[in-house]
Amino acid sequence: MKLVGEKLENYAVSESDENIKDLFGRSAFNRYYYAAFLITREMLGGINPKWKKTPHKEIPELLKGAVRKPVIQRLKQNAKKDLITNGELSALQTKLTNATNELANLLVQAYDVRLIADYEPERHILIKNRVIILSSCKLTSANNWADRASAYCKDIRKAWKGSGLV
Amino acid sequence: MFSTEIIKNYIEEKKHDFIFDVRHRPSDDVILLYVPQEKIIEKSKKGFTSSRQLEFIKKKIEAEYEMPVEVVVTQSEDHFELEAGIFQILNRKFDDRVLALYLSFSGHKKVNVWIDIEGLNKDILQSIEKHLCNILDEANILVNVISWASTEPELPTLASILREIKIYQPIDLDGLLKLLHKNFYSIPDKWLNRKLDQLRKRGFLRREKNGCYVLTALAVASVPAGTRYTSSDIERALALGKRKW
Repeated sequence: MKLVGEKLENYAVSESDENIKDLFGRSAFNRYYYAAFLITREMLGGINPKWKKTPHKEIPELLKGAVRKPVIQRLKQNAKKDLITNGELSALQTKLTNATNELANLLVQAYDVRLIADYEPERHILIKNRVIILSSCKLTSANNWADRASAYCKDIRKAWKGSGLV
Repeated sequence: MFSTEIIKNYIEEKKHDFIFDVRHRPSDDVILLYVPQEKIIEKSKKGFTSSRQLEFIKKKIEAEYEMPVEVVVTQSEDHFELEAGIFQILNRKFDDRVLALYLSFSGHKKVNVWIDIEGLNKDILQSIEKHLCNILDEANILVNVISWASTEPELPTLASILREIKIYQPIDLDGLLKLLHKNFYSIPDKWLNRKLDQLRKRGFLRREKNGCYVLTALAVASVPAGTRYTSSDIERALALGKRKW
């Protein structure tokens, strides 16, 4: 999906017609969002198959709630039984909280830009120093949404694994 | 159509100046509050906010105006420039081994870092960590947590060792090492042997005459189970099935 976004981005950057540039540029934002969304959905399905079908808008809340809570509970139980050290408890808890927060924030922002790209055609892209911008978001930043999502997902998986839940 | 002016006035009245923009999204009828990431810190104070306060503001506006609200956290231009700068410096120093680097600020002074490195080992990890902390220290930025994306540099917890043993028991040291190496790049044999011995002495494991380890009732009660596909019971059944056929 990211690859498709990159092709669309390259096409938009090299295109001289403003309208075509706008169409390809906003489509690239859409694909970059979906790349991050699919990576997140894959991770969620890996830890609980029911979560694989979570609607887009509910994922950030899921990340900050149900994805975090059982792991933290379990880590604390493990610490009581001396199955993890207090250092491990603190490190895994911090990593999980940071990663779920970051991923939730990323998805909320990316989803917002994607909806503008898809449903608000009256809001055109801007070009600044050859960089395509939509709603203050640079296409060059959107390009790494998927990689960022992937890094945060790895930390979430690590915390679930460290707790013994998966 | 709903006017965002009412919300803007509310925010001004409450002096929530960390919210720099408010927008109504017509496609799903949601009010969006835009907040820069560097304004979010652990405990809110003048000019800054916290995740907890943002959640409170969100719920308050939702209740007051009967409309769903979303908080959109945005990154500044400086953020991306600093990220790109550190990425370049580290790659120059470590021969292009840094594949990706992401920063996440908590206020201006504290940062969490995610790094992906090619060929991660303990020496390069320590060297990069030291160099990165020095660069950020020069800029008066404190490194909070570093996450290494490539593979897990830490060692498995006792809880995850017990889970692996539950699924594949009876299993000997070499078999367990092979399984754990999939997720943890360097587990010394001696370290794992010591941990298994520790678990055995505390009554979580039993070592059989052939050198294989099995869980005791205490350990079975300590390993999370359930009816989900990812449950240790289901994984155990699947592993047994594979072994049999």
